[in-house]
Amino acid sequence: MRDEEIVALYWQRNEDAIRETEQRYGRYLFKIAYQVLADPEDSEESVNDTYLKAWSAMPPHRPGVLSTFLGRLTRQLSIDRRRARNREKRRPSEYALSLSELEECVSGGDLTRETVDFHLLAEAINAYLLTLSPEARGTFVGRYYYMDPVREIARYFGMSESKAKSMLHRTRLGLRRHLEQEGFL
Amino acid sequence: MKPEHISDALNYLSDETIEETDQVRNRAAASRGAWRVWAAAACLCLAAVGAALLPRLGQQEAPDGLPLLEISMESGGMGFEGLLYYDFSEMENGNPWHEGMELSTLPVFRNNSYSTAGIPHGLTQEEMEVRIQAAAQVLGLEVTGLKEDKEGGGDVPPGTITRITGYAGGVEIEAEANGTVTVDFDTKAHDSLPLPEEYRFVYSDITDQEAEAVLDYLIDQYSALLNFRQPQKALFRDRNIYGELGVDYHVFDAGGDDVEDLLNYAFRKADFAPDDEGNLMLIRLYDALACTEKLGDYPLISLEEARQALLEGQYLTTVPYDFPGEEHVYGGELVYRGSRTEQVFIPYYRFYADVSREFPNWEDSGLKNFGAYYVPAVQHQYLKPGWQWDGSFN
Repeated sequence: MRDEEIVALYWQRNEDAIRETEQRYGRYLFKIAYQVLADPEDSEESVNDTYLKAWSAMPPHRPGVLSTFLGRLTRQLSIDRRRARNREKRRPSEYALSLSELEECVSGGDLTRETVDFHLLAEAINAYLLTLSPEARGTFVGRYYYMDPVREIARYFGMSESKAKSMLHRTRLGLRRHLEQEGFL
Repeated sequence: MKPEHISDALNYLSDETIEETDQVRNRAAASRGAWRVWAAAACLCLAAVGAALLPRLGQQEAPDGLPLLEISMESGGMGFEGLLYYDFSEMENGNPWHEGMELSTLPVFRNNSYSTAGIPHGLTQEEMEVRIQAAAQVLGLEVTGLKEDKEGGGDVPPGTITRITGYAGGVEIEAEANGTVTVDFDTKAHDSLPLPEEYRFVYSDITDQEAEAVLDYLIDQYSALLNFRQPQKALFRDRNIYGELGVDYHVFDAGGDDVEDLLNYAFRKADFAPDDEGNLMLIRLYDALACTEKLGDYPLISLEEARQALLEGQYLTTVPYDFPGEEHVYGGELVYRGSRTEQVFIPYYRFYADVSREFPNWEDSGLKNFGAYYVPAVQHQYLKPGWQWDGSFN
């Protein structure tokens, strides 16, 4: 079943929408969740929460690419779920590793989550990414949005791991300079 | 600002930026990942990805006593399994199988290292440490420290040791609980190893002759580590979305009979990986049969019977599009799918179909997208009904 047919089921309030979504995207979403949570049970719950959110969101939304729409939901739900855990119960995960790498892009400061305008920040990051080659842009998105291991990123871009690491390092430094120029840091 | 702010903001990236990367992941990661053998480690696990296994209690059996097999298909990541070429004649994977092999049966194995989350498990701590020490010894290194990684959850008990890393003079030797051993020369305390100047060791922009020459050199240099009776090169070549022809450097032991060769090719390969300076970055040794249990030798269908089954819709695929028709079918080879997310390792006939019509935006590039289709090579009366898979996104 194609995306538009699945979306139509949501709009018709037909509960087959959930089943079709699970069949088509269940494993895809599980992987996104697992990269954050590193726990199969929590990841399954995140994915189930995604279906509920999707049910609430459509209508009025009518996404063109369902994987992107659902992936965003799962990603944020998983991050929120991880934050809600006690520190002791947070498992090492690609998400945690990616945050330690992103330290290179920030400069500390007093900003709290509530004072950051994420939409503006995303616009600035997106604008910077568009100045990069598709490879550099893709390795950044693969690492920090999808939280794929560097080894996997290197493989799907057909490059060595060391090249992928170097590319990510340069992109992080470039992003930091861009955010400084835009007044975010 | 904190790193979390950057990470959270990425959730608001434009659709186009996210989808651009997702397309690459779907195309390349699915094809490479599904082809490579991720040695499945031991232990009994119920797995839904790939070939599944019958429950142990109340197993159903065929009349001759062999367990019936329940199989399904997943890509192991996302998107579908496929290869990119300008023409299918470019396909090269070093598969030792050929139609002249007289095979009436092939073994089927239960993957005792399967987990729903792809967590490697199966070998004991001692078994992993033995593998690390053995690798260090043949390399002339001394292990001075060990670090354990523990994971768990779902069908893997919490606190399970899933990998151990040995530190030996800056080199890191990692043993995973599914049998895979990785010797990593490119670490914080060590540099990748340079090769003699006459060898080019790169992932792309390299001729077959150059690739074979460097692989011959590496096989010779590391013969003790490989411990293969008859090392056989198995270069894998495909193109990326930019049309660049890449190469992966594999070798397997072809010193056995036809069945052993097929199993070694699928489950016991070794990889050599370069860094971007052309130095040896790591060597990875797979041993996917380390944690398996043989279920039996199952009678096979012929390649022609498999092709007929393919045309009749009797196949498994991760390709989410309509089958393009007989005129777009290429290849036909016998392979085992041995990814870590397969419950059972069974042989298949793999065909490729040109699904380029689903990617009209790629017409200008001339690249063609060949999706992989699998027909179980085991006679189908040994398969539980309903095994055909329609290629949903997962």
